[in-house]
Parts: sequence; structure tokens; C-alpha cells
Amino acid sequence: MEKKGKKILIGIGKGCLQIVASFFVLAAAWWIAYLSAGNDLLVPPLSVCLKRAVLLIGEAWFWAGFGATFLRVLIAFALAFVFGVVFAVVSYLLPWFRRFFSPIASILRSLPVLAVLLILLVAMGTENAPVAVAFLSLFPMLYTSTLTALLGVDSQLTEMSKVYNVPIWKRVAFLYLPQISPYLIREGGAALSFSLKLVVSAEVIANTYESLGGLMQEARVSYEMPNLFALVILTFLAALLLEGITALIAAAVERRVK
Amino acid sequence: MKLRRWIAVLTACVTVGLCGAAAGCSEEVAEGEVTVYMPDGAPALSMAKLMAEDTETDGVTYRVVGGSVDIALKVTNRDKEKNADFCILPVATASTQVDKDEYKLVGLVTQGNMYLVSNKHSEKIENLASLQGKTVGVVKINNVPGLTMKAALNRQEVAWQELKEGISASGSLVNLQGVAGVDGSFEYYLVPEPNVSKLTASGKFHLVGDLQSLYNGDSGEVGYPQAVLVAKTELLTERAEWAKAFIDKIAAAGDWLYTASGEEIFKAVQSHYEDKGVTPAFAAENLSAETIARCGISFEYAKDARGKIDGFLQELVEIDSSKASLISQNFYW
Amino acid sequence: MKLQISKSYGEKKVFENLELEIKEGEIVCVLGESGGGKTTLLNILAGLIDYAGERVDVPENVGYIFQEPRLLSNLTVAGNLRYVGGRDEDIDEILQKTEILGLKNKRPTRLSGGERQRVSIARAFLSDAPLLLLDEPFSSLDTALKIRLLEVFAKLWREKPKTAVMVTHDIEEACALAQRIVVLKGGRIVLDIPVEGEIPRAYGSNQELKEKLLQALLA
Repeated sequence: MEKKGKKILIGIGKGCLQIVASFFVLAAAWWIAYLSAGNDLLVPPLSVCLKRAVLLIGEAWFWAGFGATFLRVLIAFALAFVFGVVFAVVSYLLPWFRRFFSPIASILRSLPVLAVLLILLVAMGTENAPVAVAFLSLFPMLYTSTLTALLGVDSQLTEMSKVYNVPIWKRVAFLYLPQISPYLIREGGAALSFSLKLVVSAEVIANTYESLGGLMQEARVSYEMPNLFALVILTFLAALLLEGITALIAAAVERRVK
Repeated sequence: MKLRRWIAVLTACVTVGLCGAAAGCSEEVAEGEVTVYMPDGAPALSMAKLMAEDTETDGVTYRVVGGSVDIALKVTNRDKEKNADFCILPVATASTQVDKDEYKLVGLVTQGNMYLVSNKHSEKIENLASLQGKTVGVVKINNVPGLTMKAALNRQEVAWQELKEGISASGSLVNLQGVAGVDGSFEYYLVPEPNVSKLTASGKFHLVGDLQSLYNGDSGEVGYPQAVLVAKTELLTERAEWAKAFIDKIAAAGDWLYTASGEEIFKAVQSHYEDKGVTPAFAAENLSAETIARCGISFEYAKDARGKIDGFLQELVEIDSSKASLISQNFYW
Repeated sequence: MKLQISKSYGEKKVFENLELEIKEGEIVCVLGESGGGKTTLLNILAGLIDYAGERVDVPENVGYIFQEPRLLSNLTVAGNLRYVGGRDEDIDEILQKTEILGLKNKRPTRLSGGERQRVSIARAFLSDAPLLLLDEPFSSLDTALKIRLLEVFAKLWREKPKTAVMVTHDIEEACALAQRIVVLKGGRIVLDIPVEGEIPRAYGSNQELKEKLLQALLA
């Protein structure tokens, strides 16, 4: 028991050391960039940006923007997930639909979504267009992931279930979900993090009011570069947190099903 | 796995470092050359004659950059040697970003090039009050266009509001809506030349209002300070004669635009882009005499434009003190 | 039940008008070389693939003992049996009979190959289907384990005799378990021979029968 505890502590220690080392290496890279740029309007000092990031966390207007952006991220992701899963299930069950939809999915995957944003802005306005942009990117991604996961389900087990006339709900609950959920959770985590980046990028272009992207645009226009970098740092940390949480959930689910 | 992780982190850092280094790099300028920077659009047009006559041996390097944030970078380097010797930039940017000891404001270069266009109305707008109850789309509402429109409305004592979430259009106010582009969904748009000519050339939009006149109302005056020319104090002191002559050349450059062809003007500007990949602000075929006249290119020496500039900055500060500030008289040349 | 079937995969003919009649409660072993269509025959009986021809009196419900156990790794042994509709009281009984009651709450990843196949046998008998299909169920096991599982299967079958069709390429297995052996070669039945004696028969016995079967396979 003692040995196990020691092992865990060593593992945590190693992990922390790696994070600290990575931070120092990144800080060194920022320092190189700061010196090379030679202009605080281009690359402000890291310490100033970090201080500003800490200050921003205490500002109500930051959280208003962050909350609104996060809501858009969740809506885009939820819609893409639901549609992605539904279309994937239909494709899995109906090979003719899979053949029919495959070129459409390819086209959606190849769409230059930020360019499409300019069209969507006319139709949907600055608040909803970022959601639509993120949806258009995520939907083909999640459709493909889900379909790949479904097609990867052990065909011997599906055959066994068919032979034994196992009810559909049982097959879904005990065969399909356990097999596809770790993979889907991981892909979903990556998609969620990607959704955040897409929505923020779209908000910058659209200059959406009360949004992380809008705040970034405003900071840039006001030459508040420390604010801009601080917002970027905080967005990056949020994306990292999302990926981390979903990776943990995926690992926990994987341990349960294996 | 560990080694792979370290390699990944190092690669990322080197990339970040290189990007920063790259950001700091620009096309090399020969030592001893006087550098002149300006944003694309009307400011670049004001210098087009000089750029057309530019030779490799005249000791001057001209560079056109993409936008107002980019132009601010040319005067804010920590290494002062890297800063532009001459720079045209928006008056608001000059008031907040330029080091008042390092530079002097030598003149007013453009005096307004904003116009109201519409694809829904064709009647001319005689005064800003007639926009009450209407919505005006403004690209870059938080920057020069938006600030100028608000300054004009305040000057003419016309009530306005900026439409954001939770605020709906009012029938008694002028409603300003920030937009990413001119798509025709709003009744009016505030657009700078030479973009106006691009839009009206399409046939879908009409030019219905001149902000330069509307800003001044019934006073008969036209225009407001828009872009200014700053120069390094050191240059103005140590090479005073040469600098005066050069500024005089800039002051006289505007007339050439009415004699040169659109193609000549476009070539003169485009060949001096700092970033060769940037989309030009105007096309050769849109550079008619009418368009050029609408660009508001009209040089005024700082000593003559002082009152005008101070007044305009005061109006901007009242709208948003983070975007503009008052300047001391020492800053004027 | 009666079969009169033809089956092709593209240009390749597997059977052409193959006729086979199986009595209720009979254990028939289909012996043949690899790729001879044995598994195809089973899958037609299970209703997993289509065919030309007709099947008469073939039950809808089947129990299938696959070559690999095909157990869900996220469920325990009891969970796997519940998955196919087993009730708790029946599960305990069948696990008792297959001598793996102690493994009830273990996951398949914790079981040996032989234990997993016992679960598969338990599952087939638990389903109460009138027809059992066995697709080389003991081929991956060593001889000692094979003999033990043959005994388990025989014990369960004796308690509740069901029609069973087993396919194998192993003559010893066929001789140990079958009441009738059918040799399939080139998509045709080349030998159809009854086998006397209580199952499971001793491994290594019945040399005469084995020679006949070998001749039929090699002819």
C-alpha cells in the first residue's frame, strides 16, 4: 500500500515538473518573440499579459463575454453532436444512405467556413453566425467519427446479438454504447475545444457584441494588446481545460467498459 | 513517449519564437534611407505622385501597409531606429500612440472621405437629422469611421444610439449598427472612399450623403481632420531644409492625381506595398476624378490646422477617451 | 427439418441444390475441409445470410456456440447471460451445470479460454432454443480441455436433448459427439453415416469409422 502511494506521489511530481518545465520553455519562446518583435503593440511582455489575464478574471464584463461565447460553443456542439450521431446511425443502418450522404459530408468538410461566415452574417446576424460556422465544421467531423466508431463495433458481437434476437435497446445499451463511447467522448472533447476556437474566430470577424471574439477585436482596435493577449491566453486555457476534462471522462469510461 | 513529448514541446516553442522573430522582420530598408509609411486608401493616394517618381537613389523608401493597427506599429518600436521617419496615420491613432517627443505633427493630409450609401433609398440626405429612425451600418464602428459618425451626430446635436444586444432600433434616434461588411440589409451604410466607388459602380448602391458636409451642417465648411502626417523630431531638426522641402512636395502632390491615369496611380501605390499579398483598397478602373475628389485629399500645414485638429480630438475624446486624447501644442511642428 | 439450398458468392458456387434432412433431437456433425461451406451452412440455418431454395421446419430461435466465445467484455459472466434474455434463477442453474458458478461475477477478460467457451455453451443452452448450432467450438482448445468441454456439452444435451448441428474439420470431435456424420466436399454430401454409442465417445476410439471418414475427405 505504501509502495503504491509512493508511486502515485512520484507520478504526480513528475507530471507537475513536466508542466512547469513546459511553461518555462513557452515563456522562453515568448521572450524570444518579444525581443524579436521589438514592439509592445506586436508582442507585449508576458508578465504584463499574465497580470492582465488575472485582472480580467475579476471583471464582470469578461465573464459576460466568456459566458455568451461558451453558450454559443455549447449550442453549436450540441447541435452538431445530435445531428452527427443521428445521421451516422442512419448511415450505419442504411448503406444506401451512407453512399448518398458521403459526398455531402465531404463537401461540408471542405467548406472554407470562415469565408462562408461572411455569407452567414447576412442571413443570421453577428450572434448566430458564429454558431452556424462552428456547426458546419463540427457536424461532418462528428458524423464521420460516430460512423467510424459504429463501423468499428465488433461484427462478431453484433452477429451474436442478431442470432440470439437480443432486443435493440439492449444492443444499444450493452454493446454499442460501451464500444463507441470512449472513442466518441475523446472525439467529442476535441470537437468541443475546436468549437471554442471556431466560435471565437468567427466572433472576431463578425465583431459580435459581448463575446470573447468581440472583446479581442475591441482590444486590438484600441491598441490594448496586453488585453488581447490575455484574452487569447484565457481562451487557450479554457480549451485546454475542456480537452483535459473530456480526456479524463473518456479514460474513466474506458476503464469501466474494459 | 516522453522523448516524443519533449520534442513536440520544443518544436512548438521554436515555432512560436520563429513567428515572433518573423513578426519583427520586414523588408530590409537600406541604411541612411528616409522611411515613409502610410496606410492604404486615401493616405496612400495622397503620396502616389512621390511614389510614382520614386527612384532607388533618391534616399527615400515608401511603404504602404494594410490597416490602422499595422500603421501604428511603424511608430511604436522600442528600437527607435526602426520607427518610420515620416508616417501618415489616423489623427486619433496619432494622438494616442505616437511618442510626442520623438515625433512632431507636421500636417493634415486627408480631411474626410466618408459617405453614406444605400441600396434602399436614392434621395440625398441634406442633414443628419433626417436619419432619425433609420439604421446606419458602420464598418469598424469602434474605429475611425464609427467615431467620426458619432462626432458628426454630436456636433449637429442629433441624438443617436449604438445597437447592441438588448437595444432595439428607435424611431426617434439615429441607430448605428456595427457591421462586418456592406451587405445591403440595412437602410444606410457609412463607407469610406475609394470603397464607395466600388459599391456604386456595381449599380446596386447609391451615394446619398457626404459626411464631410453633414459634419459641418449649414456652416458651409467641408471636412474634418482624418489622417495626419507625423515626422521624427530629429529629422526635422538635423535636416530641416531637406525635411521642409519634402513636406512641401507632399503638400503639392495632390494635384497630380487629376492628371495621371488610374493605372499609373494604382501602379505607383501597389509597387510600394510592404506586404505584397494584401488586397488593394482600390482598383485602377475606379480611380476617376470624381472618386479622387471624394477621397478628401487636401494638405494643410499643422500650424494652420491646429485649431481644427484640437477641436476634432476633443469631440472624439468625449465619445471614447480610450480611442483619442488631446495633444499638447508642443506636438505641432 | 429439411434443407434444399443453393448458395453462391459471386462467381463461386458453395452449394448447388444441397439436400439435408435432420431429425428432431439429433446431433449431426458436418465434416469438411476449410472453405468447404460448413460455416455458410450454419449461417443459413441461423438466418444470418440469404440463400436460394427452401428450408422447412427450421426454428427461428437458435443457440449458437461460435468458434470464438463472443462475450461482451464490459459485462460479467452473469451479465452476458442476462444480455441474451437469461433469468437470474436460470443463470445460476446453468452456471452450476457448466461448473463455473464461481465465475459468475467475473468479466470475460479475467477468464481462461476454456472458461470463456463454457460461458458460451451455457449461453446456448440457456436460450432454450430448439436448435443448437456449433461452429468448430473446440478448435482453439487443447485436447484435455476439449474432452472436458465435450463432456459438459454432452451432459447438458442429455438433460434436454435438442437438435444440434456441429461443423468441424476435426474427425475426433465428430466421432466423439455426433449421432450422424455428414461429409461435405466440393459443395456436395459425399458421405452420410450414422454413429452408434452414447456421447461423448472416448477420444481415440472407433478407428474404422475414422478411416471411412478420412477416405471420404481425401477422395
